[in-house]
Amino acid sequence: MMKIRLPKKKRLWIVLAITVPVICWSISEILPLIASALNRQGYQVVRREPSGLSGILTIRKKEALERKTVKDIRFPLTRTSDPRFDHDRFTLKLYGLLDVERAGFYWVGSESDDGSWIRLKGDKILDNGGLHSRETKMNLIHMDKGLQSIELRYENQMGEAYLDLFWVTPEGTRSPLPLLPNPWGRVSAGLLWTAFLFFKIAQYWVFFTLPLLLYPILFPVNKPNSNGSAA
Amino acid sequence: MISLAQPIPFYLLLLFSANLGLFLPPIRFLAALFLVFFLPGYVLVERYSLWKNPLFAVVGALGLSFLLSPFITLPGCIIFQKVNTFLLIVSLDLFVLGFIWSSKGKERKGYPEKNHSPLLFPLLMLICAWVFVYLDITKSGPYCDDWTYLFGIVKELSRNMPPHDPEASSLTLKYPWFFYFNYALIHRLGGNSLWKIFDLVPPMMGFIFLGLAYMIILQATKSKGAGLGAILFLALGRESAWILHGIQGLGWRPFVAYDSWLDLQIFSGFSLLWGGWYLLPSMVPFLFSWFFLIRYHQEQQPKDYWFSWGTCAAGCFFHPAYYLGFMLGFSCWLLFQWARKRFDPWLLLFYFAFFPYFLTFFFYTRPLTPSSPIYQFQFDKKSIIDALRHWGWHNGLVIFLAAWASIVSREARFWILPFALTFAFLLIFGRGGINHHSHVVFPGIIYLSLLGAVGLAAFRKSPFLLRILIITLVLTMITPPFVSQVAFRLKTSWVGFLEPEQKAAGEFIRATTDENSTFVIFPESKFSIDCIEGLGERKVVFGWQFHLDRYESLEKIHKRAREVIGFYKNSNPETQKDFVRKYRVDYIFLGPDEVTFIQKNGAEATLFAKNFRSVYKSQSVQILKIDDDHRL
Repeated sequence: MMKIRLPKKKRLWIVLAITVPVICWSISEILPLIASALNRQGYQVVRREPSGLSGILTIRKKEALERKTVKDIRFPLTRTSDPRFDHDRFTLKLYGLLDVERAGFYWVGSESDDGSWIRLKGDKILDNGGLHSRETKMNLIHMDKGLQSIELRYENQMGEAYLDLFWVTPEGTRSPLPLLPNPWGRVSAGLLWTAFLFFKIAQYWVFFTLPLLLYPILFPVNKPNSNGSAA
Repeated sequence: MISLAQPIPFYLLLLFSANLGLFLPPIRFLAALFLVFFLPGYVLVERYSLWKNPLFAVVGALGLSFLLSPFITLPGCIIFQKVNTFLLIVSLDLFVLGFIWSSKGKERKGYPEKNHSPLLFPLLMLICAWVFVYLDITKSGPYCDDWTYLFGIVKELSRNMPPHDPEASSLTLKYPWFFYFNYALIHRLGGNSLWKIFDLVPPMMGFIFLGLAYMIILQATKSKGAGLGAILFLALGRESAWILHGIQGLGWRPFVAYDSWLDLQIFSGFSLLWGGWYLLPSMVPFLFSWFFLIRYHQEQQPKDYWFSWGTCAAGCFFHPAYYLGFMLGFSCWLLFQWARKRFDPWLLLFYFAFFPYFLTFFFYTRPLTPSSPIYQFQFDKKSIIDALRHWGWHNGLVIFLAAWASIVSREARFWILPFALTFAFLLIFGRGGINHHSHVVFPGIIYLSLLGAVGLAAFRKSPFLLRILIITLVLTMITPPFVSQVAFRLKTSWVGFLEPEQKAAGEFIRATTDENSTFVIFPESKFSIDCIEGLGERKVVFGWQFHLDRYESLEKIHKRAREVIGFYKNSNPETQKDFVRKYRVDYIFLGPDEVTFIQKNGAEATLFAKNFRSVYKSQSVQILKIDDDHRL
């Protein structure tokens, strides 16, 4: 049986170099699965007890920030349509679910005054940011069949406020984005972000440690002695 | 038990690990990198004991692998007329096994020499890590449309042999594509997207390039400080124009285009990011050749001579224009040698290093002479003064240091000055019609920077205060332009330049069409390079003429363009069928240019489109699929 004798002083590093990325990579693979399970769980809850969309509203006042949860949000959202949003400067963060019945290419867009951003399963798919009047932007996205978690950020920096979301299905029909509330949305988004972080740790760890680890084995300073260790 | 002292079991273990890794998805990409970009060069370095310094051996193993892998894998691909994973693995394995077999009865010798600066390894790691992180954060990649054309070439090389030109699907690809074949190998074996590969190539090529620059300086002058200076100039830059403008009262703006030499600023330091996939691979073979030549001259070992000649010959396949440039510098050096009555007739063989390229690639593809000349002398007073001003202003700092090196260092005068002088002459007394910056300015910058680095290091014997003053002055001049460029690029990434329409259509094309599909698009349409070839990774019947006109006759190009225009002009189904059959078209692209053209000719785009099945439609782009009945 073939055995490899590792250089004695390097054993800890070798073990670390292998285990750290393996663990981090495994976590980065597992967390999205948990997030997906949470989304499914949230979907079941919403089906049992239907409720409106809720989000976190942060109002920026001169003195301080005021943060509160607002329920039953409806689109299009304006300062006049909903008095809770009648502020000069505020941001809204919202987590929702999309039940996609057919896999395919969908145009997902927003019409907003001022900026709005959309993330699908943690990936930014739309950037309609900036200080601007009512502006429409959309992007073509391939969506798989099933539940998709959506994260929306909207901000009003001054004056009028407007936000509407829409999609164009593969059949070509444009309709409001059928967002469902996601009670576990925040946790799910956090898990996705953590998964990304662990993936990056694994990636960078490999990039930096693997060359350092292999260097003395592949290029021993002196002639390697017969017991297998690099002197 | 496998002993590190016994080469055969050790090499076999490495080879087995690489092969096994290719079947394990999480490490498949790493295994592909190891097999393509490391093992072939590594067995060569070990077999011929090319370096005694371990760090130089790393640079050598990576660089020589980069040179060798296309030559190892290509014969199999040509014989079987395809590029597939099995063929590539077998070719690489056979090569490595051949070397393993030749190591029978030998022992590994080790790398006892540590003649480099202790700062070298951390510095190289720092620079490469910075490039890697930068590209990872910004996702911006290089910043020009050419990139997407080259992207199309790599994609084509990873699936077809002989490859066809992504800009003109029915023509053989005559662009010098050998080093792109390396990226295609990684793409095919590693299974990663080309975007990821293009992210990784600049740090890796940066490591080889900077390592080689250090090795050349150390071999030629034995000065470690000069080697570090070379890395400083090549990684950060040597842009001096901004400070000269500041002194003149024109404003202290490190990143402002004062003249048409805007691109030149990109080559200062940013070349590691921007040109990591193009400039550095073109230059690396000749830097190897130069290094081995210096060592051959000093130590008179035949293996150095043959490695120098071999890397030079391989470089012709990578980019013939760089071979021409290197040979001009080499000729100048040879002339100096002859004047000193130290002439070695064996060196004349370098003039025949293009033979392998000529008898194979050139003979097979027969590229034509470019319609614009590669280089033209300009001896009129105005041109010379202009060129002199540009050369002086952009390189100002380094020119003084280079002049100082030529005075104080015999080795720099002997080895680097002939090359630097040749390129200074080429820069001042003429211009290239094609890629002047890549073919002439960039190599010129390298030779001048190396010479300048020797000049900088020569101040180490000067009084402490003067030494600090010089170093402070140099850093003050070269750092702000680099920082400005990075900040500018962070704000305006290449992806940011693309319109959402292009991104969306490109995404659709890549995700839903067969990878060997051919598109017809209006000649010179902006969608051809970015959207179809780049993001979509597909070929077009005829796209952009400004690459094709370097290898094809203008007559042929214009004929093809007329045919494509005729296709959009004519809505007669029979004529359209003829065209579709002739060029095996799978999809028709109807973008803003096509619609405008059809309307100008008194027709309606909807009428044109009704003969075909629409598979994609956005605000200004429609993609039509050609069904089989249109081909019959």
